[in-house]
Amino acid sequence: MAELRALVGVKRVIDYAVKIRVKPDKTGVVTDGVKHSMNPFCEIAVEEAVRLKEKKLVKEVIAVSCGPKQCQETLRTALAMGADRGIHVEVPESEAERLGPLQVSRVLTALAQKEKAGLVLLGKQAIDDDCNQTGQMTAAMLDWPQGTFASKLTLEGDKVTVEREIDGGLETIRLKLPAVVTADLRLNEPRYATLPNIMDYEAARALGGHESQPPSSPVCGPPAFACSSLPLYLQLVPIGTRTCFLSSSNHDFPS
Amino acid sequence: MAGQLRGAARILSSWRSYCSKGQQEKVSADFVEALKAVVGEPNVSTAGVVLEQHGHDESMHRCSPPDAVVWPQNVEQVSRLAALCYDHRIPIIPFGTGTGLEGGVNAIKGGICFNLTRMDRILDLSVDDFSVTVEPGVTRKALNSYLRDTGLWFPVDPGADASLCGMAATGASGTNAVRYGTMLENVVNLEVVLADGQILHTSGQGRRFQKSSAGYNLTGLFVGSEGTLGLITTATLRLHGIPEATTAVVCAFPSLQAAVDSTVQIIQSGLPVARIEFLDDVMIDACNKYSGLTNAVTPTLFLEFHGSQKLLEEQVQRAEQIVRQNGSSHFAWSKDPEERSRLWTARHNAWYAALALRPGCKGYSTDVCVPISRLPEIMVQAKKDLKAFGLTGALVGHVGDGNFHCILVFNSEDADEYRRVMEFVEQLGRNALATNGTCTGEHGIGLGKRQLLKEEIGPVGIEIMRQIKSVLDPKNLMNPGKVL
Repeated sequence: MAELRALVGVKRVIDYAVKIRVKPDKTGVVTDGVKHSMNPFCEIAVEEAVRLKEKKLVKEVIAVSCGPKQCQETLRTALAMGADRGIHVEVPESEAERLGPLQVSRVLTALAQKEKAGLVLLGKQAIDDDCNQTGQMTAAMLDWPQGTFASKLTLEGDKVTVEREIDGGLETIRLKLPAVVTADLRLNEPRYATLPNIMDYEAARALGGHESQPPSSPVCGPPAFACSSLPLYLQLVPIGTRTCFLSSSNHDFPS
Repeated sequence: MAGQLRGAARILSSWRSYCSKGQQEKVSADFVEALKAVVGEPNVSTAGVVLEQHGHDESMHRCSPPDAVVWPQNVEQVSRLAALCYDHRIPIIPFGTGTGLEGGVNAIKGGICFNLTRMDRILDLSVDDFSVTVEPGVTRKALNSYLRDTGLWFPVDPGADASLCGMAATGASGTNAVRYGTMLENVVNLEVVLADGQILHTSGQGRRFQKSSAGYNLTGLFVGSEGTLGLITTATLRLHGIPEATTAVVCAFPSLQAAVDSTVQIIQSGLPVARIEFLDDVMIDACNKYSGLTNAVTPTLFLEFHGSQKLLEEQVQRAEQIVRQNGSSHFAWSKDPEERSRLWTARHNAWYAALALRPGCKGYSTDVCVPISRLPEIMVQAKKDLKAFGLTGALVGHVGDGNFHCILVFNSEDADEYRRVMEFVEQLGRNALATNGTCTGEHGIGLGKRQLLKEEIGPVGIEIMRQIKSVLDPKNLMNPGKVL
């Protein structure tokens, strides 16, 4: 489908090679000064989306990340890998700890509808919390079919065939688009970000710049089903052959 | 009487089947306590299995365990430990990942093994300046994984996932050397602890420039010194941009001559090939069996090109012309990362694949490097000699540099086979020297090639090397018995 838009969620986590250390006051793990990078399963999801775009089956790849300012680094990597646009949903650092699959799936649901995405690609789980819930919750909220633990993905017309890795072996299912797919390890081998692509993004940043505003209301309000307005919605875009604008705006998302 | 005693001692020592101790234990309990006082009790070990593990590398040289192993955590501890060993005249053996191929870590005169891998920080990464500083515990794969989202990589890739400081110590090289150079070209600065504990920064502390004309090239002196001049505690490396696009090519040839001729022509035509690896039929067969591949069992070249999309198409076309002229029957290429990964993993596992041809046997890899124009003749000769000596061997190598390895697999208990292996190796070494080449392109001298080094460098050169060694290590404590 040449009109298909893919929304890819990317999470910034502590790099997989780092030796995790517990804080002395036992309230969590040490994150200051520790190397962070894109969740490995999210890398695989981005890679799959970019490959679909290269095969001309997907028109646009939009990367999304929720969290504090540093998430823009993760989005930058996604852009350098070949995503067309990056959306940073900013959550202040004080509240970022309470950001979990429920809140993130609400964001993705709202964005998928807003951006008219036909395919939501996520990593199967994050390596810091191992929740393995966001993809499934997002599909439920959108009322879309889901293909989780994908080790092979084939787009054919308005259907997607997903080969899933399950306990007993492999299961092949066919889903009607729009659908949510979560990536497992053997789906592909992600490419490395190359200098020319990184430089493209840096040039755009230097030229355009963008502003953040402090949140006007808490992101993760009362628990359960209320998630009030998300304060900030930034778009990051590289210069060059792809689109070339930067914008920021406040949006209310449905709760 | 003395002769009879010596004879008796020889018989006794040959009964110790696996490990051989060079000398009497010279390390007292007090000394071990002194070591513990510096690094802490959990970071010193005299346990038998630990000593054995640190007494050998991946080569066939017999295990020679040290008297104790220490794990320092920072350069100050390394310095104090070295000073301690210096005062007591106890040998010092640096140890990284133990993946060397020339017996460089075997403690043939006993001593203290400094396992430096607990020092594993990546420091001073400067993406703008393409440089990074690493401690000995950082391996090449760990560094490249760390760098993956910066657009940079460190291209020197010997088969093993070796410690980068260890690679600096042995002057390592890899499949990418033909385009990106070896460790010698990619190490900018080293922090070295000398035998007496002094800390030396070979290019000046903290300096990381692209080039310099300042004074004598101390960095170059320590790269390839194999732990005989000092302990490398950090290395500042030159990084390169990750290539925009990569294409891997496999071509099969009817004969070794055709494959090597193609290599020479590709290099001489100025194609900026990133990797050009040769595997002979024995090696391809071994790799097929070990890695589950299905390549045709015939001399084969694996090539890789790096660059922008347009450039790649042009380069692949030109390469195809050259190899077809030399009779290549099968030319397949792939841009797919999974495919390329599989291909290169198979090549990097060549050592283990060859060993798997005869399980239970040891392996010995020759490492000669000759001028490209003489490469075909020496490889053809090597293949003939393998047959003549009746040995199991596979030829594999970085033919773009004129460097190839003959991996010999032999039963170390069979004295006759061992003798034939040694004869073959010496013959090959001497053939290489006769073509103005070197007896070791990348593995180092270690224990086994000291005689060849003398023949290669000549008496004046060897004497100069000895004098340099005696200045930096007057008591001959730094990895004694290696190189010189």
